[in-house]
Amino acid sequence: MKRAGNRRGQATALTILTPVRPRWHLWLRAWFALARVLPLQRWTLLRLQRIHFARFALVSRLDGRRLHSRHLLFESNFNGNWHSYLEAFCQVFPKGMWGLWGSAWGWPGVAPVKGFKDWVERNEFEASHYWSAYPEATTRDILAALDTEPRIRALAQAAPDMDPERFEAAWADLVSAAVRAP
Amino acid sequence: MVAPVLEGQEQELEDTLLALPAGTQSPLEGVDGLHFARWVIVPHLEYGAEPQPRDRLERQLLVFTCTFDGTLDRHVGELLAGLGQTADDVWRHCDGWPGRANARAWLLDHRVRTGLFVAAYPKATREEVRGALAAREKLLNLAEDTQHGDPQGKRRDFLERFASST
Repeated sequence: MKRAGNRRGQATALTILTPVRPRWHLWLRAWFALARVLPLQRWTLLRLQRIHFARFALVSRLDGRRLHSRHLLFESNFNGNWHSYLEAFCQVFPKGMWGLWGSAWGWPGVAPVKGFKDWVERNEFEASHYWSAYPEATTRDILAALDTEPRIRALAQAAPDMDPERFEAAWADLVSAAVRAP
Repeated sequence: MVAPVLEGQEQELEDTLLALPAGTQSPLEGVDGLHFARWVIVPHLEYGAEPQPRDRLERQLLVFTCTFDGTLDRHVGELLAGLGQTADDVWRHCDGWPGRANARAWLLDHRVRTGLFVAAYPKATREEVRGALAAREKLLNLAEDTQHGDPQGKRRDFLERFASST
Protein backbone atom coordinates (compact mmCIF):
# COMPACT_ATOMS: atom_id res chain seq x y z
CA MET A 1 0.00 0.00 0.00
CA LYS A 2 1.55 3.31 -1.08
CA ARG A 3 0.48 6.24 1.01
CA ALA A 4 3.67 8.15 1.82
CA GLY A 5 2.85 10.79 -0.79
CA ASN A 6 -0.45 11.50 0.91
CA ARG A 7 1.13 12.68 4.16
CA ARG A 8 2.53 16.09 4.99
CA GLY A 9 3.12 16.49 8.72
CA GLN A 10 -0.24 16.18 10.46
CA ALA A 11 -2.16 16.46 7.19
CA THR A 12 -3.32 13.56 5.05
CA ALA A 13 -4.70 13.70 1.52
CA LEU A 14 -7.40 11.38 0.26
CA THR A 15 -8.31 11.39 -3.43
CA ILE A 16 -10.87 8.93 -4.75
CA LEU A 17 -12.67 8.67 -8.07
CA THR A 18 -15.70 6.39 -8.26
CA PRO A 19 -18.09 5.52 -11.13
CA VAL A 20 -21.66 6.69 -10.64
CA ARG A 21 -24.63 4.53 -11.65
CA PRO A 22 -27.01 5.83 -14.35
CA ARG A 23 -29.25 8.70 -13.32
CA TRP A 24 -27.75 8.87 -9.83
CA HIS A 25 -25.96 12.04 -10.84
CA LEU A 26 -29.36 13.75 -10.62
CA TRP A 27 -29.65 12.63 -7.03
CA LEU A 28 -26.10 13.81 -6.30
CA ARG A 29 -26.74 17.22 -7.81
CA ALA A 30 -29.85 17.56 -5.65
CA TRP A 31 -27.90 16.36 -2.62
CA PHE A 32 -25.16 18.92 -3.23
CA ALA A 33 -27.70 21.70 -3.69
CA LEU A 34 -29.48 20.75 -0.48
CA ALA A 35 -26.24 20.50 1.49
CA ARG A 36 -25.21 23.95 0.27
CA VAL A 37 -28.44 25.43 1.62
CA LEU A 38 -28.95 23.28 4.72
CA PRO A 39 -25.76 23.02 6.75
CA LEU A 40 -26.68 19.71 8.44
CA GLN A 41 -24.64 17.39 6.21
CA ARG A 42 -21.61 19.67 6.23
CA TRP A 43 -21.95 20.11 9.97
CA THR A 44 -22.04 16.33 10.46
CA LEU A 45 -18.86 15.93 8.44
CA LEU A 46 -17.12 18.74 10.29
CA ARG A 47 -18.22 17.43 13.68
CA LEU A 48 -15.29 15.05 13.45
CA GLN A 49 -12.99 18.09 13.70
CA ARG A 50 -10.54 16.20 11.54
CA ILE A 51 -11.31 17.62 8.12
CA HIS A 52 -9.66 20.87 7.06
CA PHE A 53 -11.27 20.99 3.64
CA ALA A 54 -13.08 18.45 1.47
CA ARG A 55 -14.88 18.57 -1.84
CA PHE A 56 -17.06 16.49 -4.12
CA ALA A 57 -17.22 17.02 -7.87
CA LEU A 58 -19.08 15.20 -10.63
CA VAL A 59 -17.03 14.48 -13.72
CA SER A 60 -18.82 13.61 -16.96
CA ARG A 61 -16.00 14.10 -19.51
CA LEU A 62 -12.36 13.16 -19.38
CA ASP A 63 -9.72 13.69 -22.03
CA GLY A 64 -12.34 15.25 -24.29
CA ARG A 65 -14.61 12.20 -24.26
CA ARG A 66 -17.94 11.70 -22.56
CA LEU A 67 -17.74 8.88 -20.04
CA HIS A 68 -20.23 6.00 -20.01
CA SER A 69 -20.49 6.54 -16.26
CA ARG A 70 -20.08 9.89 -14.64
CA HIS A 71 -17.46 9.76 -11.90
CA LEU A 72 -17.53 11.26 -8.43
CA LEU A 73 -14.27 12.89 -7.40
CA PHE A 74 -13.79 13.24 -3.67
CA GLU A 75 -10.79 14.90 -2.13
CA SER A 76 -10.17 15.49 1.53
CA ASN A 77 -7.48 17.12 3.63
CA PHE A 78 -7.69 15.68 7.09
CA ASN A 79 -5.48 14.95 10.07
CA GLY A 80 -4.74 11.62 11.59
CA ASN A 81 -4.32 8.27 9.95
CA TRP A 82 -6.26 6.83 7.07
CA HIS A 83 -7.81 3.93 9.01
CA SER A 84 -9.14 5.94 11.93
CA TYR A 85 -10.44 8.66 9.59
CA LEU A 86 -12.46 6.19 7.54
CA GLU A 87 -13.72 4.44 10.66
CA ALA A 88 -14.82 7.77 12.15
CA PHE A 89 -16.50 8.66 8.86
CA CYS A 90 -18.51 5.43 8.97
CA GLN A 91 -19.56 6.04 12.56
CA VAL A 92 -20.71 9.66 12.37
CA PHE A 93 -21.80 9.94 8.75
CA PRO A 94 -23.33 6.61 7.66
CA LYS A 95 -26.49 8.08 6.10
CA GLY A 96 -24.57 10.79 4.32
CA MET A 97 -22.20 8.19 2.91
CA TRP A 98 -25.12 6.19 1.59
CA GLY A 99 -26.41 9.39 0.05
CA LEU A 100 -23.12 10.14 -1.66
CA TRP A 101 -21.34 6.88 -2.46
CA GLY A 102 -24.48 4.77 -2.56
CA SER A 103 -24.54 6.12 -6.10
CA ALA A 104 -21.37 4.24 -7.03
CA TRP A 105 -21.05 1.02 -8.94
CA GLY A 106 -19.64 -1.57 -6.53
CA TRP A 107 -20.42 0.42 -3.36
CA PRO A 108 -20.15 -2.10 -0.50
CA GLY A 109 -21.88 -0.04 2.23
CA VAL A 110 -20.33 1.14 5.47
CA ALA A 111 -20.59 -2.12 7.38
CA PRO A 112 -18.44 -4.03 7.82
CA VAL A 113 -15.95 -1.19 7.78
CA LYS A 114 -13.26 -3.42 6.25
CA GLY A 115 -15.30 -3.73 3.06
CA PHE A 116 -15.59 0.04 2.89
CA LYS A 117 -11.86 0.53 3.45
CA ASP A 118 -11.04 -2.02 0.75
CA TRP A 119 -13.33 -0.18 -1.64
CA VAL A 120 -11.75 3.19 -0.85
CA GLU A 121 -8.31 1.69 -1.32
CA ARG A 122 -9.24 0.32 -4.75
CA ASN A 123 -10.53 3.70 -5.87
CA GLU A 124 -7.85 5.84 -4.26
CA PHE A 125 -4.94 7.57 -5.98
CA GLU A 126 -1.79 8.59 -4.21
CA ALA A 127 -0.60 12.19 -4.49
CA SER A 128 2.70 12.66 -6.28
CA HIS A 129 3.12 15.98 -4.52
CA TYR A 130 1.08 17.14 -1.55
CA TRP A 131 1.42 20.43 0.27
CA SER A 132 -0.16 22.01 3.32
CA ALA A 133 0.21 25.58 4.58
CA TYR A 134 -0.06 24.24 8.15
CA PRO A 135 1.69 20.89 8.16
CA GLU A 136 2.15 20.78 11.94
CA ALA A 137 -1.36 21.88 12.90
CA THR A 138 -4.41 19.67 13.30
CA THR A 139 -7.89 20.97 12.50
CA ARG A 140 -8.51 21.33 16.24
CA ASP A 141 -5.31 23.34 16.65
CA ILE A 142 -6.48 25.73 13.96
CA LEU A 143 -10.01 26.05 15.32
CA ALA A 144 -8.63 26.67 18.81
CA ALA A 145 -6.14 29.22 17.46
CA LEU A 146 -8.81 31.13 15.52
CA ASP A 147 -11.00 31.18 18.61
CA THR A 148 -8.14 32.29 20.88
CA GLU A 149 -6.51 35.00 18.81
CA PRO A 150 -9.26 37.66 19.28
CA ARG A 151 -9.40 36.79 22.97
CA ILE A 152 -5.68 37.47 23.27
CA ARG A 153 -6.16 40.88 21.70
CA ALA A 154 -9.10 41.63 23.99
CA LEU A 155 -7.16 40.64 27.10
CA ALA A 156 -4.09 42.60 26.01
CA GLN A 157 -6.32 45.65 25.75
CA ALA A 158 -8.07 45.11 29.10
CA ALA A 159 -5.16 43.79 31.19
CA PRO A 160 -3.53 47.14 32.09
CA ASP A 161 -6.70 48.14 33.97
CA MET A 162 -7.27 44.79 35.68
CA ASP A 163 -6.24 43.97 39.21
CA PRO A 164 -4.02 40.86 39.44
CA GLU A 165 -6.82 38.56 40.65
CA ARG A 166 -9.17 39.47 37.82
CA PHE A 167 -6.32 39.07 35.39
CA GLU A 168 -5.53 35.63 36.83
CA ALA A 169 -9.12 34.47 36.18
CA ALA A 170 -9.17 35.91 32.65
CA TRP A 171 -5.75 34.38 31.95
CA ALA A 172 -6.95 30.94 33.08
CA ASP A 173 -9.97 31.22 30.73
CA LEU A 174 -7.73 32.26 27.87
CA VAL A 175 -5.29 29.39 28.32
CA SER A 176 -8.18 26.97 28.63
CA ALA A 177 -9.65 28.25 25.32
CA ALA A 178 -6.25 27.89 23.67
CA VAL A 179 -5.93 24.20 24.46
CA ARG A 180 -9.36 23.08 23.32
CA ALA A 181 -11.23 23.53 20.07
CA PRO A 182 -14.48 25.57 20.31
CA MET B 1 -8.54 20.61 -12.69
CA VAL B 2 -7.88 17.52 -14.81
CA ALA B 3 -5.61 17.38 -17.86
CA PRO B 4 -4.54 14.45 -20.06
CA VAL B 5 -0.86 13.52 -19.95
CA LEU B 6 1.03 13.32 -23.24
CA GLU B 7 1.75 9.75 -24.29
CA GLY B 8 5.28 8.67 -23.46
CA GLN B 9 5.76 11.41 -20.89
CA GLU B 10 4.06 9.74 -17.92
CA GLN B 11 7.26 8.67 -16.19
CA GLU B 12 8.97 12.00 -16.72
CA LEU B 13 5.97 13.78 -15.24
CA GLU B 14 5.92 11.52 -12.21
CA ASP B 15 9.67 11.96 -11.72
CA THR B 16 9.24 15.74 -11.92
CA LEU B 17 6.49 15.74 -9.29
CA LEU B 18 8.31 13.37 -6.97
CA ALA B 19 11.46 15.48 -7.22
CA LEU B 20 9.71 18.68 -6.09
CA PRO B 21 10.97 19.72 -2.67
CA ALA B 22 8.49 19.17 0.15
CA GLY B 23 7.23 21.43 2.93
CA THR B 24 8.33 25.05 3.00
CA GLN B 25 10.66 24.43 0.06
CA SER B 26 7.77 23.32 -2.16
CA PRO B 27 7.05 25.66 -5.08
CA LEU B 28 3.47 25.76 -3.77
CA GLU B 29 4.71 27.66 -0.72
CA GLY B 30 5.11 30.74 -2.92
CA VAL B 31 1.48 30.79 -4.07
CA ASP B 32 -0.41 33.50 -2.20
CA GLY B 33 -3.52 32.48 -0.31
CA LEU B 34 -3.07 28.75 -0.79
CA HIS B 35 -4.17 26.44 2.07
CA PHE B 36 -3.73 22.95 0.59
CA ALA B 37 -2.81 21.57 -2.82
CA ARG B 38 -1.90 18.31 -4.52
CA TRP B 39 -0.97 16.81 -7.85
CA VAL B 40 -2.27 13.31 -8.44
CA ILE B 41 -1.66 11.11 -11.48
CA VAL B 42 -4.62 8.93 -12.44
CA PRO B 43 -3.35 6.07 -14.62
CA HIS B 44 -6.70 4.28 -15.02
CA LEU B 45 -10.31 4.32 -13.91
CA GLU B 46 -11.28 1.62 -11.47
CA TYR B 47 -14.11 -0.65 -12.58
CA GLY B 48 -17.02 -0.75 -10.13
CA ALA B 49 -19.19 -3.81 -10.75
CA GLU B 50 -21.23 -5.58 -13.43
CA PRO B 51 -23.17 -4.43 -15.43
CA GLN B 52 -21.32 -1.09 -15.42
CA PRO B 53 -20.24 -0.19 -18.96
CA ARG B 54 -16.46 0.07 -19.02
CA ASP B 55 -14.71 3.41 -19.22
CA ARG B 56 -11.08 3.18 -20.23
CA LEU B 57 -8.63 6.04 -20.31
CA GLU B 58 -6.63 6.37 -23.47
CA ARG B 59 -4.18 8.61 -21.67
CA GLN B 60 -3.26 9.10 -18.06
CA LEU B 61 -4.64 12.13 -16.28
CA LEU B 62 -3.01 14.74 -14.10
CA VAL B 63 -5.33 16.03 -11.40
CA PHE B 64 -4.48 19.22 -9.54
CA THR B 65 -6.65 20.31 -6.63
CA CYS B 66 -6.22 23.25 -4.32
CA THR B 67 -8.01 25.30 -1.68
CA PHE B 68 -7.33 29.00 -1.85
CA ASP B 69 -8.47 32.42 -0.63
CA GLY B 70 -10.40 34.86 -2.80
CA THR B 71 -11.79 34.46 -6.28
CA LEU B 72 -10.86 31.85 -8.89
CA ASP B 73 -9.89 34.55 -11.35
CA ARG B 74 -7.40 36.09 -8.95
CA HIS B 75 -6.13 32.72 -7.82
CA VAL B 76 -5.22 31.57 -11.33
CA GLY B 77 -2.90 34.55 -11.65
CA GLU B 78 -1.43 33.95 -8.19
CA LEU B 79 -0.94 30.27 -8.94
CA LEU B 80 0.97 30.90 -12.14
CA ALA B 81 3.04 33.70 -10.61
CA GLY B 82 3.80 31.70 -7.46
CA LEU B 83 4.73 28.48 -9.24
CA GLY B 84 6.89 30.24 -11.81
CA GLN B 85 9.00 27.76 -13.78
CA THR B 86 7.44 24.81 -11.90
CA ALA B 87 4.15 25.41 -13.74
CA ASP B 88 5.95 24.78 -17.03
CA ASP B 89 8.02 21.91 -15.63
CA VAL B 90 4.86 20.06 -14.55
CA TRP B 91 2.13 20.94 -17.04
CA ARG B 92 4.31 20.85 -20.16
CA HIS B 93 3.74 17.09 -19.95
CA CYS B 94 0.02 17.69 -20.49
CA ASP B 95 -1.85 18.00 -23.76
CA GLY B 96 -2.13 21.55 -25.09
CA TRP B 97 -0.10 23.32 -22.38
CA PRO B 98 0.56 26.74 -23.92
CA GLY B 99 3.34 27.83 -21.55
CA ARG B 100 2.71 29.72 -18.35
CA ALA B 101 2.57 33.12 -20.00
CA ASN B 102 -0.59 32.03 -21.82
CA ALA B 103 -1.89 29.42 -19.42
CA ARG B 104 -4.81 31.21 -17.78
CA ALA B 105 -7.43 30.02 -20.29
CA TRP B 106 -5.92 26.52 -20.43
CA LEU B 107 -6.18 26.12 -16.67
CA LEU B 108 -9.78 27.34 -16.67
CA ASP B 109 -10.68 25.07 -19.60
CA HIS B 110 -9.53 22.05 -17.61
CA ARG B 111 -11.35 23.05 -14.48
CA VAL B 112 -13.77 20.63 -12.81
CA ARG B 113 -16.57 22.42 -11.02
CA THR B 114 -16.98 21.62 -7.34
CA GLY B 115 -20.38 20.19 -6.41
CA LEU B 116 -20.00 20.43 -2.66
CA PHE B 117 -17.26 22.06 -0.64
CA VAL B 118 -16.76 21.52 3.07
CA ALA B 119 -14.49 23.80 5.08
CA ALA B 120 -13.70 23.73 8.79
CA TYR B 121 -12.64 27.39 8.80
CA PRO B 122 -14.28 28.94 5.74
CA LYS B 123 -13.88 32.58 6.74
CA ALA B 124 -10.19 32.59 7.65
CA THR B 125 -7.53 33.44 5.10
CA ARG B 126 -4.25 31.58 5.10
CA GLU B 127 -2.46 34.53 6.68
CA GLU B 128 -5.12 34.77 9.39
CA VAL B 129 -4.74 31.07 10.17
CA ARG B 130 -0.97 31.33 10.30
CA GLY B 131 -1.18 34.44 12.49
CA ALA B 132 -3.63 32.76 14.86
CA LEU B 133 -1.47 29.63 15.12
CA ALA B 134 1.60 31.74 15.91
CA ALA B 135 -0.28 33.74 18.58
CA ARG B 136 -1.62 30.57 20.17
CA GLU B 137 1.82 29.01 20.27
CA LYS B 138 3.27 32.13 21.88
CA LEU B 139 0.48 32.09 24.45
CA LEU B 140 0.95 28.42 25.32
CA ASN B 141 4.71 28.95 25.66
CA LEU B 142 4.05 31.82 28.05
CA ALA B 143 1.58 29.69 30.02
CA GLU B 144 4.25 27.05 30.42
CA ASP B 145 6.92 29.58 31.39
CA THR B 146 4.74 31.29 33.98
CA GLN B 147 2.73 28.40 35.38
CA HIS B 148 4.27 28.78 38.86
CA GLY B 149 4.38 32.58 38.80
CA ASP B 150 2.22 35.05 40.73
CA PRO B 151 -0.69 36.88 39.00
CA GLN B 152 1.17 40.18 38.89
CA GLY B 153 4.17 38.61 37.19
CA LYS B 154 1.91 36.79 34.71
CA ARG B 155 0.16 40.02 33.79
CA ARG B 156 3.49 41.80 33.33
CA ASP B 157 4.89 39.01 31.13
CA PHE B 158 1.65 38.77 29.14
CA LEU B 159 1.64 42.49 28.42
CA GLU B 160 5.30 42.44 27.47
CA ARG B 161 4.75 39.73 24.92
CA PHE B 162 1.34 40.72 23.63
CA ALA B 163 1.21 44.51 23.94
CA SER B 164 1.63 44.76 20.16
CA SER B 165 -1.50 42.59 19.65
CA THR B 166 -3.91 45.36 20.58
